[in-house]
Amino acid sequence: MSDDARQTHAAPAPSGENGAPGGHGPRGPGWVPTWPATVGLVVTLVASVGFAVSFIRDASTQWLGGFLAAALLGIGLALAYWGRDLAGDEVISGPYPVPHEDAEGRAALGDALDQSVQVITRRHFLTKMLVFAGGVFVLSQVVLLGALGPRPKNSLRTTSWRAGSRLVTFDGVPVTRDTLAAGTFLVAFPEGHLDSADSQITLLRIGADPHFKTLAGRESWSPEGYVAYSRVCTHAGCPVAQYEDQAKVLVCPCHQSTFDLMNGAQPVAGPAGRPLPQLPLAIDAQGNLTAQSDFTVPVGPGFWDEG
Amino acid sequence: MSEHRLKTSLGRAFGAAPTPARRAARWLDRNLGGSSILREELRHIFPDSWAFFLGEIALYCFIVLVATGIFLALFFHASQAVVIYHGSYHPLSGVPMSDAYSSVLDLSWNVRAGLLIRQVHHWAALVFVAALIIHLMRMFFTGAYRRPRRINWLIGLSLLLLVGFNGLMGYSLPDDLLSGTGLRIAFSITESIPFIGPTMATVLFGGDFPTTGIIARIYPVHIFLLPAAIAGLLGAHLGLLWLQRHTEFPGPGRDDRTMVGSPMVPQYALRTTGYFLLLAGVITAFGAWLQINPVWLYGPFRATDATTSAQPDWYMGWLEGAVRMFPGWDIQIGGFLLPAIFWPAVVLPGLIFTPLFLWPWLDSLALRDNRFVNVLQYPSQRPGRMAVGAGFFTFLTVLLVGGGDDVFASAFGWSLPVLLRALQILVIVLPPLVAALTYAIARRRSERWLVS
Amino acid sequence: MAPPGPGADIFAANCSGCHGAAGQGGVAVPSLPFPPPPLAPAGFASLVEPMVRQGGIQMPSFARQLTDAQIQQVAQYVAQQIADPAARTANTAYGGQIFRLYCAGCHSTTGRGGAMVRGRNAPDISQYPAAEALAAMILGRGNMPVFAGHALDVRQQTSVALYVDVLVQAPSPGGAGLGYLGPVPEGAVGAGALLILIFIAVWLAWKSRKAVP
Ligand code: HEM
Ligand code: FES
Repeated sequence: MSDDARQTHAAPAPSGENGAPGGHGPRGPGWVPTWPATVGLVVTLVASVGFAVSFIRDASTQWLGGFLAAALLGIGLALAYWGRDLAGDEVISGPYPVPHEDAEGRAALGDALDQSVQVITRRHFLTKMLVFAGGVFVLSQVVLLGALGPRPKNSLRTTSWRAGSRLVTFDGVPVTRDTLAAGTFLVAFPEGHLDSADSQITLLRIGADPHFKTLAGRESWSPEGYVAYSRVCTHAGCPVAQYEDQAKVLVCPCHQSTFDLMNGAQPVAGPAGRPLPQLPLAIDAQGNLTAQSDFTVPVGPGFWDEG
Repeated sequence: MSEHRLKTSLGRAFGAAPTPARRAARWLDRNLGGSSILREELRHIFPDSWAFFLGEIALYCFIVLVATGIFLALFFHASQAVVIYHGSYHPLSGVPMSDAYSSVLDLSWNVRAGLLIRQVHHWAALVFVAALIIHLMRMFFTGAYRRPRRINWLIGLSLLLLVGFNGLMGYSLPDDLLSGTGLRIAFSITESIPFIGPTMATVLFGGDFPTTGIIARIYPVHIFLLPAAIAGLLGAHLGLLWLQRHTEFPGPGRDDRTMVGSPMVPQYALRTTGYFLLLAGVITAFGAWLQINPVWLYGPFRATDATTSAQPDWYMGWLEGAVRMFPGWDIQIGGFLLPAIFWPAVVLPGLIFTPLFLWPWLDSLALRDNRFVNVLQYPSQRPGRMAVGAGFFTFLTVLLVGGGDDVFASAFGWSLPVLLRALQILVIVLPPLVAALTYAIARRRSERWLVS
Repeated sequence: MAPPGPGADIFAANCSGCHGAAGQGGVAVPSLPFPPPPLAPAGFASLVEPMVRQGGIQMPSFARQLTDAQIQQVAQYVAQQIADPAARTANTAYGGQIFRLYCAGCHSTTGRGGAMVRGRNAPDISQYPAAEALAAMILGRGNMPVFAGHALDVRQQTSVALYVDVLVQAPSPGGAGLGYLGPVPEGAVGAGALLILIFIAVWLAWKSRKAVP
């Protein structure tokens, strides 16, 4: 684009010869005050010093950031005002780069490319080999992903619970038949696995509550009114940490899946689709609570080959 | 001959005084050449409308993020080795935690200016995505995505995806309770994908959740891989913009072949530099006076800990809302399980972004209009598009509100189940309603347009 | 059991009527929904003092009946003589760990409360003196289960209360907390930042718009 293509519709520019961008000229019709820019720059001057001083004196985030913000805002205001008001309203226009209808050029480019392509594809066999070998090469690099991590194997299906694992509190104290009174609960772990994410359970003592429904096949899982459910949400795996005592539901704080403690921890509200797995419990000779086995189904969020 | 040209030719004739700028020009020409191109580009035309600053907000946020991010990276430890905390924040002293979390505590409590920079980094991230979305809406409603800017529409959308994802990675780095909760849900969502899900999850995370190497893994992604990709795409985005120039709103003297605006130098350059500094100032003021992500109150992530009011940063809120609102329809298919979360968390984002990516082509197909345009449309000029857009963003907004339903219920004393049910109805009913209403209004306005 | 002294006298005159002569709690007070709790976990004067001064959900404030000095005396007395000695071995950070395991699910990790699905929402516990948390752990509250004596022993209860005290005081640098409700208010305020920036852009583009030929 040349100068001729652009037209300048110069507004009555305050930046003209007799204009007063610096504020020295007469206050004509286009006169614009310079003080806002001056104020901005003075703010920046002062605030920059303030910033350095508050850094050295280890002042609070509010002071430090306040000064830094003021310094940035001051000079920002000055420049913006400069560009907006002091530099003059020069409005220009020019052509857009419209794609000129250069049919010849386009055709020539197509021909040239076509010729190059033919140089290669003339060798039919080689071309095919090239595509094939290149493809296999790219695919072969996928094995590198294997370095990232293991395939799931059994880790998604099993937890640290074993037959006879004792239940302990988060502090490692064994849970006995006397730990809970009817209507109370605690969070328990298998002994020796206090940090095992998928083994955490909610242990509650139902006592002889008549509203509690024992599911078929689980008659022996809740000795002396103790019931244990996985504490890993079957929706997306958060700890199901809300225990609503009167309603006797467990609620997950992540997306509010609600599980009915009196009925096999079935989901009754929220986005979870499957109940919390129940851990079969026993009480050993010393009165300690133990697991009869691991969970009978995978705990936590669902996955494809779980079903 | 214009006064300007007269002066330059006079200057050349009598040998212009060698000012620093003239010397610089001579140096440039000798060493790089192309001075006449540069001379022209100094007069590159920029349109004068606030709507064109939206993209600049995003660009400048990125600059702020890189600058603050480099500072943070000097102090952050991307390691989940367990350390016992004995730092300045006494309510956590003696607590075992990851090195990463402990380094963020140190950044916040001990490193001078550390907390300020952390907070500025986080605020800039929130504003970045917001600016991108409003920028995208501007493109959409004014038809800026039409030929020849379809490729730039694709680049812009990709930027939105990458930036949002990088924000999620950043949110996960400090390894506080919210970070870990987010990662855990990300793991579960990955697991839900049919066939490949479980393997994909354990391969990406390096094992079954929680793994001890995930922070080290996302760290280079957050501070290098994605920022580099974002910088590259931004370069392409701006390069195309430079070649094609901005669009412009209709006005006197403007048409698809003529552009009107301010010259880059000096007016526009001054304005935009000033604007960058003002933006940095505003975000710094937020970082100075408004606390964000006070991770010391959240505590270190432990797989047994959970908190209510656990949300991702706002730009993931629509996904969070979808995940909360979608019913628990787990499907058993002959020995296989399709978890319900697959639909809102994997399928829905695809359903949202695919049409967005295809939009310029769908639009030109529907209208049989493939012209080369530079002048924008006012939103109501195209009632159909306006209705679709309004419905679409209403849908996303209801989802976004759903992502914070428990916080709203708790803060305003509402009943959460009632609110949830209301949102579940609204998310279906409201978008078509808003679309229809928008259509009617836009239709009336566009008729007035045609008359005048 | 308790040696006589000003603290003991103040206790006997003002507290024992509800909490029992030895602070064992459980004295039925007909007008109250919950029996006053035992004072076993009240092992720190810093936990007792604010409760006596401000009162709690059920307990009245004693700021008028008692002078500052008397409040301090009785708080010392309760912490030293009435509370279970195990309570005095409590530890704030340990309490924080328990808080995040048992309490944060409902009250949130910042203690600001949260929504419930079946019952009333869990309240913002930073509104009350930290000792109120002890009462709630001991007695339960509506949908809140009883923790004391089952899930948590005395030392653990006291530790939680010490940590709640930290949350009540919220020692947080970095400017105004946005309600301590996490990313939701942060997102809303971030939208405010964008609005400010748009205003600035409108200002910046305003003048030149007028100049269009
Ligand atoms: C698209 C650009 C980026 C976005 C959206 C983004 C977003 C975030 C967010 C939301 C956080 C959490 C901050 C918090 O602790 O509250 C974070 C942390 C962090 N970011 Fe970025 N970031 C970006 C670019 C960068 C870059 C370029 C770097 C480094 C050169 C960086 C370095 C870091 C580091 C070291 C942390 C962890 C320290 C901390 O959390 O305090 N970020 N980022
Ligand atoms: S993880 Fe429990 S409801 Fe989503």
